[in-house]
Amino acid sequence: MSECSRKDLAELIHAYELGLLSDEKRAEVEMHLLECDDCFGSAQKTAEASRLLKFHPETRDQVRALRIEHSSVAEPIGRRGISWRWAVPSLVTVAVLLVLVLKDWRVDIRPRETVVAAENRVIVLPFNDLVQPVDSCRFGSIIAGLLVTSLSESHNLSVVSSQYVSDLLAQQHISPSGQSADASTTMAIARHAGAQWMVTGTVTQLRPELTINAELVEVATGTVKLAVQGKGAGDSALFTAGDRLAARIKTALLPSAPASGIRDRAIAEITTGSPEACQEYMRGIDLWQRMYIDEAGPHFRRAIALDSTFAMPYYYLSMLAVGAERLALNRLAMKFIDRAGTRDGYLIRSRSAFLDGNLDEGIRILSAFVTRYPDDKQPLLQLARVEYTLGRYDSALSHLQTAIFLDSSYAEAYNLLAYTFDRMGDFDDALRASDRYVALAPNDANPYDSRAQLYALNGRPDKAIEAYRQALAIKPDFFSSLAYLGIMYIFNRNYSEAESCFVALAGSLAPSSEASSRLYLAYIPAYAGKFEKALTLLKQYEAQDSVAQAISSLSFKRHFEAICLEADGRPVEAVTAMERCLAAGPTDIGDSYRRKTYLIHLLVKVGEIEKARRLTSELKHVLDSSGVSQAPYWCALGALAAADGQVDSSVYWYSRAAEMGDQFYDRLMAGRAYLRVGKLADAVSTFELLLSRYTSPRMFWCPESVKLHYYLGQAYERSNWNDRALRQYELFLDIWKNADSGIAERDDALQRVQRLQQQP
Amino acid sequence: MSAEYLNRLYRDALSGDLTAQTALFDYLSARFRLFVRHRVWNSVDAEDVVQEALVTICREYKTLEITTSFAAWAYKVLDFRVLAYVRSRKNIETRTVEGADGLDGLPAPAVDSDLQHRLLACLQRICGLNRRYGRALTLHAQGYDTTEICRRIEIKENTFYSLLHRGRAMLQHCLETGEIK
Repeated sequence: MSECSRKDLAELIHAYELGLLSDEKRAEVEMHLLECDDCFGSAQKTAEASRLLKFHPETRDQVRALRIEHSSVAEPIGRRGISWRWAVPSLVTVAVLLVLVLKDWRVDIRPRETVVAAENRVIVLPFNDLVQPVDSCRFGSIIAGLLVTSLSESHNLSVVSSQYVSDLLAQQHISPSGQSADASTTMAIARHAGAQWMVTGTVTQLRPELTINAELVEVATGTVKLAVQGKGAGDSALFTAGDRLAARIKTALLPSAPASGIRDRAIAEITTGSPEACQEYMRGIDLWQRMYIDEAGPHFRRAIALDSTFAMPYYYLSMLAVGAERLALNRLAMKFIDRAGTRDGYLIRSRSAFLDGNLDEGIRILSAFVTRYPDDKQPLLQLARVEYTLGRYDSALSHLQTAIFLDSSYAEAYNLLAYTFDRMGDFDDALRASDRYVALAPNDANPYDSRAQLYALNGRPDKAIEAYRQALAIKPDFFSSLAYLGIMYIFNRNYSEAESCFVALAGSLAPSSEASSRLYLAYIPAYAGKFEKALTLLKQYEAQDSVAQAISSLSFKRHFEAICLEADGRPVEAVTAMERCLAAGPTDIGDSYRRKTYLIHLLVKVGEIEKARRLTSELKHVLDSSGVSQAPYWCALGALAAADGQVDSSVYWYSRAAEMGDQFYDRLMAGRAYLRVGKLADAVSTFELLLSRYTSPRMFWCPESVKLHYYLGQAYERSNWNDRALRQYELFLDIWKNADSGIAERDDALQRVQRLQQQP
Repeated sequence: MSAEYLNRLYRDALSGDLTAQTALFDYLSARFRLFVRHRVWNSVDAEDVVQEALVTICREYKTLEITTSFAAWAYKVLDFRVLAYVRSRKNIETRTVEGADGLDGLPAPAVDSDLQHRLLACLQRICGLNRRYGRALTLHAQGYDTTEICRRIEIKENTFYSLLHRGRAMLQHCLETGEIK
């Protein structure tokens, strides 16, 4: 066989095989293959394998899931142990925070290769409503949901969760009501879920008597083991019929189950007695599972209005609320916990423990949940979220791996996985997980929003903007994307686009969206160095918040007012603003610690050292008693040490705080401390890191965010990197080219630029 | 072999040499089959396209005066058949009513599960050694095109092709011997 004379074309063969060439190049390669025996022979050997790689969906899925080992590259400063999400001064992100929490997601992407039907594992699919084929009431889904709740009470049955069923239906492009699913599809879904048994059915009559027909089918053979009819009349017809069906299914599946002596609780006892409340709740859950959490809120509220003892809507609403309201709603969920099934009870109790600051207890409850329902992915995701929030990314990864093993198409798990990878410093894998998340939920806005945040956290604001826009193309009023897109536009100094985002945000359904929008609008002049204008706006907005009783928002605006006042050279007024901020009312405990730290910094700045010491002692006492991170206290110690002239101690305390939690403010103060003592390499790396992240907390501290260029310029200049220094000063001056006059840093930067430009 | 060899077969076939004609069509059909199967997943459809192209060539090559390259002309015939097939598939996919013959519902082509298993096993091992190749393949499997893959793994297009070429050599060796070279 003659040897190939066109090595350039021979090199393209694999790209050709994979379909990665342009039409022109493909034709060139094929013409070469037509004439070259050597290349043709080689291409024939790998033809079938290449076809699998190119066309075969299952093979492609498995290639996607290949684990690519990663070398242990030195981790960039600050990538581990961050909790920037929690630093988001959020009202700003009441909802955004929650979205982030919910979006919480390393993949050793190893989807379960062989799904083995577990013994007595049951999947309940949405019933077909023959009476109302359009099924706007989602009656069939409600019945299925109630059956899942009832059957899950049995210790001898493993019931596939409603969420997993919903996910599987969505993957098959079947509506949550399951109305368009045919028999072969439902069997395929049941097999995918590893179920031994499948419950399907139809609603055949609503009045005078509700009549539901159900079938219990053995998935492996398709044999109908039980065909049963459940009937009920009156207001409780739905629940009566559901109880009868559940009882018959349990008897059929567990004929010789030992009597526990405990009566099976009726569905109405562990959910709600109101069909309307149940319907509202199910609609809320559907939206929640698709991350449209703000839209879900009204449904949960209506469910509670219809049945004030319905526990689960309180649970979900507490996740939407902040501050005192969150605690109150969770207390109500706990109060009515007897009106929740076992599965839901674990969720309520674990959340309650977390809100009480009892992390160990919360984790213990979730672990018990996993033990009780080993095939349920939801508690695994919850555990991963907790570990992620605590900065224990390896543990989070482990839980996510297990969840993905249970369901290789668990979109939410991939979402958290992407964030977890990012925190572990593995941006490539983060993007892979994000891609998978997008592929699993291409019609939802949240996957694009998550991807945008990954880009924003990794210094790619333009890509972030693009992804946020993709999210908004799907859902134009998506709170998180609108808010962050506006913030990205401010970083890009496209202030008019930013304003239009925030104006649109005011009309979103998210709670306190108007109040959040007003805070964001004040960022625009502040970022441009127009503090007078920002302060005027804030006064006006604070008045509006007071009228609207938007207490949480008011606290944030006063905090931001203090930041602007300090930047404007008015630290005494800033102290007053912070004191008013702390007096504004209850807000998240974590926020109040942070605010005290900033107040201590301001007090030191105006010379009120004793008051600052007293406040620091109080802060220490509160942090000790609540068992939370000491980072705010360390930051306060950093300020006091600087006031005492103990610069090394100051650096120590600030850097310790910065490494603890990766809060923007802590890291900023650490960077400034490094600069003061001449630890230039540390200062440069800290400022460079902060400038690479386009986050909401960075925008909240926008005067300092802009000054990062000035600080970095100084660090470069003192390191004799004059060209870099000049660039940073110029950037700084350009952002503040129309700023208020009299800003000391701006005047100093002008002089430094002149000096550097005069140097040979 | 070369274009000259093919053109010689063509000229001999034109002059009535049946042996040359048989050799010519054997030569073309093997290559055409390879090309089409890289563009058409369904093996039955792929074979149809190849046969249609060969019939067209067989019918017309004696009636046309091909002054340049027979290979180029024959390839063009095939390319048109593939394009026609692709267009017809698009029409089928956009139809809302199911095909009357029910053929659209034919099951997906069977795959060689042993090959699939060996392929994945080899890739797993190769990707452990050549991470960039692995990364390129996973991105390809996710649907990214050359430009996007190059951007993501931050390499130039020519480097990307070389990367694939080396990966392919390892894959071919592994598939043949079960070992990684």
